Amino acid sequence: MKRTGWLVAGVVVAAGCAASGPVPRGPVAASKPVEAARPVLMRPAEIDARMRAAWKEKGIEPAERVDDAGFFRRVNLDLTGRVPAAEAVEAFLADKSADKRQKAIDALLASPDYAEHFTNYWDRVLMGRNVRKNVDHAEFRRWLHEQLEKNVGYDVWVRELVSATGLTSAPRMAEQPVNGAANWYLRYMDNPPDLAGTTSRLFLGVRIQCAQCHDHKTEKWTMSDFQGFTASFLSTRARLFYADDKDKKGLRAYDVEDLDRPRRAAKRMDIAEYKSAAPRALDGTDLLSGGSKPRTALAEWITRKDNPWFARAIVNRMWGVMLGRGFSEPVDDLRESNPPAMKDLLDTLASDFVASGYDLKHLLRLMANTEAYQLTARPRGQRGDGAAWSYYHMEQLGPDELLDSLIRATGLPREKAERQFSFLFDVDEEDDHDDEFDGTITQALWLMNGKVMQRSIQIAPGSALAQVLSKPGGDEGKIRALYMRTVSRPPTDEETTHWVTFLKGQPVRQGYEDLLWVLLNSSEFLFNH
Amino acid sequence: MSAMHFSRRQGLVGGLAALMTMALRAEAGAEPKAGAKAKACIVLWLNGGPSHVDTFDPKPGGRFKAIKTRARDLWLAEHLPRLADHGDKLAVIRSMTSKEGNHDRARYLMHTGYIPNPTVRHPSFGAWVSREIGATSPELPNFVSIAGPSMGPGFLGLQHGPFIVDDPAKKPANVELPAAVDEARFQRREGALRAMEARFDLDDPQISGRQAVYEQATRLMHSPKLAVFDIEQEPEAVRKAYGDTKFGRGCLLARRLVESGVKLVEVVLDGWDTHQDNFERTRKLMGTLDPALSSLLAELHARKLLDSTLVVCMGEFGRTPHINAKEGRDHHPAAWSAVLAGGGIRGGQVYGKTDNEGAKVVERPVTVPNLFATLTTQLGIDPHKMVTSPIGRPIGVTDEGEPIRELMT
Repeated sequence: MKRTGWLVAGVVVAAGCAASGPVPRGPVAASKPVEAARPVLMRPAEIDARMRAAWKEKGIEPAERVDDAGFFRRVNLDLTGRVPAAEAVEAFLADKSADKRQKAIDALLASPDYAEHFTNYWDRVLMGRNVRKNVDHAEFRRWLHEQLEKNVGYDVWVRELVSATGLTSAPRMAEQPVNGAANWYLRYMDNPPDLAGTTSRLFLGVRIQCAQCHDHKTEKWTMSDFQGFTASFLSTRARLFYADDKDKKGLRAYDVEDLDRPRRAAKRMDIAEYKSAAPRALDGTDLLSGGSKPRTALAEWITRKDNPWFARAIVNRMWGVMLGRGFSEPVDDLRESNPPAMKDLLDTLASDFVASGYDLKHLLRLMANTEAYQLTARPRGQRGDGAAWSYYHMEQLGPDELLDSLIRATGLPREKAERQFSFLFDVDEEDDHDDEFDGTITQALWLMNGKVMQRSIQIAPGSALAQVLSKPGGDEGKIRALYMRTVSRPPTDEETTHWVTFLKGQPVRQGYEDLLWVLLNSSEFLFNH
Repeated sequence: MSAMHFSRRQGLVGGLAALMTMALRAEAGAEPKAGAKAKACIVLWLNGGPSHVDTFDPKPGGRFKAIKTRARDLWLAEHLPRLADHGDKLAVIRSMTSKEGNHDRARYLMHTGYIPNPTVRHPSFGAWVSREIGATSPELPNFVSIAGPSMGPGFLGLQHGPFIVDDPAKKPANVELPAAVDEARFQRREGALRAMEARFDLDDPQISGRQAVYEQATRLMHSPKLAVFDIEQEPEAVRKAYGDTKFGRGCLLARRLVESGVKLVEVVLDGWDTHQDNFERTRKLMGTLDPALSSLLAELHARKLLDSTLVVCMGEFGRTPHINAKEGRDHHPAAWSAVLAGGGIRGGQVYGKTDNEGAKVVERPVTVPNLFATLTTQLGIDPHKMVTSPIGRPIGVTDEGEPIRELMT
C-alpha cells in the first residue's frame, strides 16, 4: 500500500535551523518558508544543473561518467546491499537501450532485495549490533521489513516507531498481537536520556544529548532543552507481560504502555532530574497541552509537515548513503556550527521529499539518477569535503554487504558463513561509521585464511567454482565468468592472458581456487567504488 | 624472513605501491623517543565505570573495609589484598573528573582524550602510540586489544587500528595457512593478488590503508613471534597466579606481548556498570582484577620491565555515593579514580582527593586531557604535537593537556 500523499497545499520546510544566525524560538510556523511545495516532483536534471553550477563556481572539473559495469555494480550495492548476479551483469551490458540505467534503478527498488538491505541498514542504525537481552530482534526486523517493503511513508513509520505500544514478542501463554516496533522502546527502557538523545539525533539530526550534563557556550541546546525532551519518555513503561513463566529461557514478552503520569523511577537519581521537567519539543512546543500522551505528542511533532528538521535529516542521511557524504557530515549532526554544503539543494530536496509523501523510494531513485552519482571514483582535482561530489566517494563494503556479496558471488550457504562472521566487526554500538570497524588485520586474516574463504573457493555442489568449471569451453570463458561474479565486469584482454598463463602448469582445481581467492581478496571486490 | 610484502622484495609493482611504502615509512619512527621513560603501555580497561568508593577510594563507614597497603597514604578496599602488597608501585589518582556521564561519550573521551566531536574521528590512544612510537614494519601489531571492544584509529588510518584478540586462551584466528595451502602456493596467490591490486588504478588512501593492513597480516602469519600468543607455554604456577579468568589470561598475554615489542596492549574487564547489586558484583570483579593486576606488576618487576612499561588501570567514570533502590550505584563522572604504575611513574602515592562521600573532587582535580598528556609524555610523545587530519584540520595528540609532573619519578 503506497500512500498517495503527493501534494498537500502549503507544505513548508522551514529554513534557518541548520546554518546561519540565531534561530527563532517559538512556533516553527513563524520561521521563513523555503518554498511552497510544487505540484511536480523534482527531477534528477534539476540536481544536475545545481551541481554543475557549484562545480563551475569552484572551478572543479568533475570526474568522468562511470562505465556501465561500474554503475551497475555500484547501484546494486547501494540499493540492495550486494553485488549483482553475473547473469544480471551480462544482461545489463548487452542492453542497448538509452534509458537502461533508469530502468535498472527502478527494477532494483522494486526487488525484494531492496527491503532486505534497508532492513539491515535501519536495524543497524536503530538497534546497533549489541542488542540487549529480551529485545525480540526478529519481531523488530519483521516490522521494519514490512514498512520498507510496502514503502510506507517515512513519516508514518517513524511516528509509529517513536510512539509504539503493545507486546514486544509473542507470549507463550496467549494468542496476542505483537508490535515489533515496541522493541525500540524496550532497548532503551532503563535509560530514557539515551532514548531521547538517540531519537533526536537519528530523526532530527540534532545532537541534543550533548547538553545532558552541562551547557556548552557555543551550542544552542541547553540542559533544560534536553530535560524537557527527555521528559516526553518518562510516562512510558515496559512490563513483563506474563510473570508466570519465570523459568522461561530466552525471550520474554514485554508490554509497552503509556501512563498518565511519569512512572516511578524508583529513586533513580539519574532520572529524577528529568521528572520535574515539562515535556517539550525542541522548538518549545508543550507536549502536554494537546491531550495525547507526551510520547505520542512528540512523535506527532517530529513528523509534522512543518517540522524544520525531520525531512532535512533523512534527506541528508540518504544523500550520505548514496553519494558517500552527506551535505553535513556526520549525517546525523545538522547543528548550526556544522553548516551543510549546498544548503539550498538540501532544502529543496527536503521539501520535495515532503511533497512526495515522504516516499523513500522516490528519494533514492532521484539520487541514483543524478549525474553526480554516476561519476567515477577518480577525482580530477580536489579530494574530500571541498570537492562537492565531483567524483564518487568509494567505501569499503560494510559487514552485511561483504557477507551478502560473498554469498552471492560464491554460492556459499548462508548459515555456514554467518556463524563465523560476527566477531570480525567489533562495531561500536552507537556507531554509524561502517568504514571504521576495528580489527582490520583480523579481517584480512579471515579473508585470506578463514574457513568461510576456504568454503567459498572450494569445488562443492552448488559452489560458484563447481558451476563455472562444469561449463564447456576453454579457460577464457571460465575466467570471464568468475570476474562477472566477483568484480562484476568482464576481464580485459591483458587480464585474461595473465590468468591463462597463471593457470598453466598447475592442477586445474588449484589454479582456479587461487584465481577466485585473488578476486575475493582484491580491493576491487572489497570496495564499493 | 619468509614474509611477503606487497611493495618490497618482488620489486615495485607500480606507482601506487611505491607511494604507499614511502607514505608508510615517512609516517612513524621505530626508535624509542628521546626522553621516553616508557617503551610500552598496558591499559587495563574496566568497562562500565567502576565504583571508586568501593575499590581505590574507600571511605570510612563504607560497605567494604579499607585495608592498609605498602604505601603509607594509600588504603584500598578489602577485596584487593594482593594489590595492597604492591602499594609502593602504585600512583592512585583519586581526583579524575569530567562531565561525560553517558557510557559511549565517556568511553570515547577515555580512549581518545577528546570529547566526541561530530566533525572529526579522533584516534584512540593506542592508534597514536602505534603511529608515534610503533615499528614501521612490525612483525607483531603495534596495538593489540584483548577481550575488547576497543576503539579505532580514527583519521590515522586502518593500519594503526587495534589487532583484536577475542580469547587470550587461543591462538589468534586464521594466522595459519589452510591445510591445502603450502608456503609456495600462498606466495603464488600473493603475487597474483599484488598484480591484481596494481591494475586497480583508483588512487585512494583507503586502498593503500587496506593494502598496508594486508601486509601487516601477512607479516604476522610468518612471524616466529607468533608463539607469543600461546600462553600455554607459561608454567602452570604463573598462569594460576593471574587467575583462571579471561581477564587474567589477557593480562598474562599482555606481559608476553610487551616483552616481544608490542607498544600498546589493552585488556578489557567488562561488567562494572553496577546500577543493580553493586556490592556483590564489584566484589566479584575485584576477585578477578586483584590477582591479575598484582601478578602483572610482580612479573614486570621481576623481569626488570616495570620501569619501561607504563601500566594504567581505569574505567570511564565513577559511581554515585548514593545507593539506589536496587542496591546499585549510578553514573558519576564528577569524581573517580585511575591507577598508574611503572613506566617512570612515582609509585607509593595518592594524588588528589575526594570529599568524605566520594562525591566531589576537593584537591588537585585531574582532567582527562591532563591524564593523557601524562601518559604520552612518559612514552616520549609530545602531548602538544599537532597532526593534520585528511580534511586539513590540525589535531593535537592531546586536547591541550598538560602533563602532571608530581606523578613522575
